[in-house]
Amino acid sequence: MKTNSSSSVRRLSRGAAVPALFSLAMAVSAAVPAFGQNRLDTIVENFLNTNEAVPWDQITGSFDTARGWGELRDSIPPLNAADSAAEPDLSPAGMPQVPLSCPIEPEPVNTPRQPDSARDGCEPCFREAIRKLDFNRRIFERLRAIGSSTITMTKKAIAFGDSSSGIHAVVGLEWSTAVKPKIEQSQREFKSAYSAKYRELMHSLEANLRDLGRCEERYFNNRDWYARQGYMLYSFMEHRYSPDLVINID
Amino acid sequence: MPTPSTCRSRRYLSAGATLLLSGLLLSPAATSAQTAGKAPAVLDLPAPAAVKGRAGRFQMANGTSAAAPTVYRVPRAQIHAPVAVIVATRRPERPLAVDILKFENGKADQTGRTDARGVAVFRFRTEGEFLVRIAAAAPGEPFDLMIWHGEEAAVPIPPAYRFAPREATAK
Repeated sequence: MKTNSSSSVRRLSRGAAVPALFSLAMAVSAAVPAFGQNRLDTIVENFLNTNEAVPWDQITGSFDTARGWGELRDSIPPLNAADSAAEPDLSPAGMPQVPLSCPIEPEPVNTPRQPDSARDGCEPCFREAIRKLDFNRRIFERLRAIGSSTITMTKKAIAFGDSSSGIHAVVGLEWSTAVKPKIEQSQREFKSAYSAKYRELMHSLEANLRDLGRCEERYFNNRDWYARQGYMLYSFMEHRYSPDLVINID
Repeated sequence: MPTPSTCRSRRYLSAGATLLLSGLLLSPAATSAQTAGKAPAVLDLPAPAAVKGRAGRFQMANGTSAAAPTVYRVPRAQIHAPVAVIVATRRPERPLAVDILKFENGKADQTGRTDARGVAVFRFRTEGEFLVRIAAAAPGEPFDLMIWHGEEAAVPIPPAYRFAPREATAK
């Protein structure tokens, strides 16, 4: 099952212009020709039939149907430590739970639902606001994953360049005067792009929390809920996804 | 709505990492410093595509080993979706070495060889791009590469709120 958040973040890449730097870098790259759809179907089936010694289940790890995150996390490991750090954590240590006056938790299974005038009135308002809030939380987490993995990879590449550039004087000169400054510039641009996205999401988060505050005021006469309660969560998210914390390049 | 700027810059960085290495590799001095003298080209696979009757999306390539390892770039994996890399040689008696790594010339994160069946299978999760490096003891070994991208898992989202009863006042 595709999550809204990941689809949304994936859309970030569509239509992105190919920068000049990318073209330059691609001087040592080449593209494998794409197959037509029917041909790809045939090639994949031929591959799987030719390699019958490798059952489909061994390839997919039985994850060819969408399964729960817990099962996937426990069965298929991240590639490296940077990927471990990028794993989704939607309940990080220290995250506050803001108090809501509307009882919107799911009913226990097999317990008949009793009419409840308070809930029946407030639930749609709160549920919609929470749906938007949770959507935003997922996007924040995707942003953090992209940010942390990209910066980790680039830091490793720079460390590699620094250590390799001592092999030969000319290589070292090219590295320090031409290549490394461009990568560092790219890092700054990435941090700037991350920061812009972060600000956009923080703005949405505030709007989500103010929506909850309006529900509180409307149904429970609970004024200033955002300032007194909602701001706790805002403040936590502001710190957790801060560019200075996630994209630490200084 | 999200803007493309984050990914554009990310691609810059990815390109930057390649540039870093290409700068080293393209330099005549660097080339002479390479023991093999032949830098492997990085091959970009076509975008993953669905295949009729199979779950997930696929990328396929075939090649023949050269003096230098063959390196394929696989972009835009997601940490909450499984990936499988399958390499099959047509001559199992001449195994291929296969590395999975995050950037060119970096340390391999997973490494293996094609087995007695002539197949090597890797399963993992990663965020962003990764590389598959295939090397043979001698040039001229034909091989097939298949990348399988599984469906994204739905990550549960614990509530960021708790119920604190108050008396309803709305009409």
